[in-house]
Amino acid sequence: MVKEIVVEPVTRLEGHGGLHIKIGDDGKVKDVQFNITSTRFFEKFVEGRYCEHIPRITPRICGICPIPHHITPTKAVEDAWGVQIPTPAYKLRQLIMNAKQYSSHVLHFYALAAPDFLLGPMADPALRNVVYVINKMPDVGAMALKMMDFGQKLCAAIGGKSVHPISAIVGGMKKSLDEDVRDKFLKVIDEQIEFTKKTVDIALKVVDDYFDVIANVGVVPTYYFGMTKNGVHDIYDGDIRIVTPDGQKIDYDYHNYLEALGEHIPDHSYATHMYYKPAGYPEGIYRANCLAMINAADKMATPLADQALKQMRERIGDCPHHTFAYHWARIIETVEAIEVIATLLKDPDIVNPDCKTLDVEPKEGSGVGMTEAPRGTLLYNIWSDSQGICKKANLLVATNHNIAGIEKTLMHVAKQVFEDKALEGLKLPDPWIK
Amino acid sequence: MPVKVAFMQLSSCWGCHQSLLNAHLGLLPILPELEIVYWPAVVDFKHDSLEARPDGDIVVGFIEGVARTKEDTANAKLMRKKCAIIVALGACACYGSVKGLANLYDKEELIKRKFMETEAITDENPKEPTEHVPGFEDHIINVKDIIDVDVFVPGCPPTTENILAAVAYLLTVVGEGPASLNKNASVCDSCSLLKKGCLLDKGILCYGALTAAGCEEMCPNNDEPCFGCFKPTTKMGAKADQLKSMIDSIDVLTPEQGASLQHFLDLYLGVSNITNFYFRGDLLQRLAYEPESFAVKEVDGKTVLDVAPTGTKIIDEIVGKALFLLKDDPNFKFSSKTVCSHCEREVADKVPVDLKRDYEGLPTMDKCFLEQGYICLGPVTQAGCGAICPNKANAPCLGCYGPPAGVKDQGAKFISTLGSLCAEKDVGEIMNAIKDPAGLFNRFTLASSTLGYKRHDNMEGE
Repeated sequence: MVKEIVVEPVTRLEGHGGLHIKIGDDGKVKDVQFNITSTRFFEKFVEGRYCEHIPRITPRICGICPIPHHITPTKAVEDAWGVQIPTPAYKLRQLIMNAKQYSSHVLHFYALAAPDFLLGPMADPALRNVVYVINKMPDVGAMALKMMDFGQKLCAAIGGKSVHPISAIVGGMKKSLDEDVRDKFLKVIDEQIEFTKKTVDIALKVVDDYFDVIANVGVVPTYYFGMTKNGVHDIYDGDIRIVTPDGQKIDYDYHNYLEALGEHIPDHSYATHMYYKPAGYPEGIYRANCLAMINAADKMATPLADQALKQMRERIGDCPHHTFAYHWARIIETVEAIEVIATLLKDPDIVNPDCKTLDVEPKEGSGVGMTEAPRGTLLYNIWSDSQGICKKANLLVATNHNIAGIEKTLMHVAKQVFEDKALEGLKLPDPWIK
Repeated sequence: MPVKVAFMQLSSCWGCHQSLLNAHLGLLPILPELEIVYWPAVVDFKHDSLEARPDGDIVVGFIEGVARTKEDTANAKLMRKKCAIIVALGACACYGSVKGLANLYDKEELIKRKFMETEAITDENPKEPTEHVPGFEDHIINVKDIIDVDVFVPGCPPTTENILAAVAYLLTVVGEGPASLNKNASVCDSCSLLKKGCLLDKGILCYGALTAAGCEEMCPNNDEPCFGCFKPTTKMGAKADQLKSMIDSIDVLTPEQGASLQHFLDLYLGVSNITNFYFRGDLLQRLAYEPESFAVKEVDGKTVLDVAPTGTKIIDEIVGKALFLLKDDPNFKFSSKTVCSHCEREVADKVPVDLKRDYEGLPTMDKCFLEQGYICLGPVTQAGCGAICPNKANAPCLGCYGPPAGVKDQGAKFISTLGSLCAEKDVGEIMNAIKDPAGLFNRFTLASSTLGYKRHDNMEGE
């Protein structure tokens, strides 16, 4: 008699997924499936579109991270057509990427993850959500909302809209930031930095509270897929860096992504499984997203974030495989985001109207663009014809990069839970919200 | 009492939800009004808990996304069963949005590219996944073609303000009204004009006799007519019959009478003063969008539209007569505004210079995009967003709010608009400049346009 545990749907998740766990008579976990139950075929229906319009279609891949899905195809088309963008455009794109990173990471920490920590994993499912957290901890709730609001408003100020922006165009940006708008953000930047520091304190308290869980549940050695600019953490511009389970770092020019990345089509998920090609499947399964970015980086790009990274490495090592450290890594990235935002807001280039080159001509060829979205790397490969119409596209997005690694982690944790009864002896703190 | 609501995501991007969440601190007053019984993105209720609810148990169900998979179709049907009011939230649920562009290809072509052809695939014989996954519909199906939809909130995404307005409005529909509301009396009962001289006696339409009491403003006490904000009363005022015979005696509306009746129906029945979303239950909106859907009947020798919004005979007959009069009234203009009406750019004659692709040059912020030669769907797109793209981002309108009232096909309408703007130009040149009309003009509405989806002629012998 095989017992099957079904979770339908997996909640507090962006997207559509279910979970199937099979346990045999002997009590052993036989199979774990993470089923992604929808896909929309963007890679096909952008064929035939004007290349410069793809960035105004693909943001709809993800309404939480539409900014990178707007910027990445723009970079890919610029790569295909051989277009160089002016420095102000580069900085505006960096700024909007970091504004998104900031609001999305805060959303993830407070709205998607925090209910587990603040109410405790055993809490009533009817209450285990952000609405209840806001009710019970109104000060923290209001702070989190103000942080998300800042990030989203900054995205809207640069992108036109925060959800599905329209301002990036092949050749640069349609518009720079207006000075009076910039000043509004500058006025509250110090408050936002304070909020971020408070969030770090909350996160470190959670780390202390749950250290037993962090150190013992879901510690899964895998490869990591991240992006760095010459070894430094960067979410807008950089190359592929693979980290092996024993912490070696291997760099690839992102144009050669096919050397590093393989894609396996599973029989049970519409999101495909990416892996590190030289290591084969399933051995080469990697994880992506913030912990992968942190493990790939030699250092963070900003001082406070770098200090936070050192603190984490002192505690759990240089290449931690702790799944729960994802939350920690996300907070380190949040610190970097607000520091980058603070620096760029003071940079005169972001109000410089010279943000679009006039030297843009369609050219036949293939172009690749890569950025780091809040949930993982985006890689767009776009083939243009001589008229600038898309002939073909390959979109390797965050979901692809994450799913195999998540499933591998789930298998590990399922064994811990059902075979080793590892949860029974765990030290759990008193919930903050009772 | 909080109102039970459910949020369902079909194949979608979460963007409509993010737009709602973008209210941030503005959410705080609304959240206590809602009892969220299903919202996988935010709360932990599972699918079986939704299935276990009694039919019609949930007051408002929001549906985001399109039907791409068979699971999506089933979930739309499940929501219809469980919810009293269904809101199609966002461009996907309203008319397919960009996901409808998949309909330019066959299902087999889509599956082949994604699961068999893309460049990084390493499997020898890759196949479409089939285990514990729902399977795909042949093409994107519009939610309204699967189930009855009561409210359409367009936009990709709808702005935060639009969503909040829709939520707040729906709460007032199902909520209990202000504390002072008294449905057992009418505005007439406390009207100072009743003795001084009723407005009706002066030939001015005043609707106080049909309106519930409890209002503190009391417009008639300031010599202004009551337009019925406090909604229907159960105990008619003294002047109800006089009002009815006044309206009955109208054959052709004067502009003043037309404006008065429309303003009354707006406040008395509905939502239509909030023009950013379509609510089928609102009779004025239905009159604008689906005038042919009404039956007519004879009452006391007068033709009226057969409606029963209140269940009170005299009120329903007055409303039916008012709607009948407005139906053919040339001044009855409803929500026909387009993005252009909120665009701050200067318009001279709208005749485009040579058509440009978007990467060419850099448009100026002060002049109409079409006049600068850039394709902008503003003239064929429903207003509601505030013309953010042209006003704030120096980007042309892409058409995400769909067509305005009365326009069936946004793309066809744009082609006709462009044709008349470019009447002096060479047709071949224009056609040559536009290589992807479906992707440019029906980007958000392809699945609900006359194009629909890719079809094949069934050739004899094949």
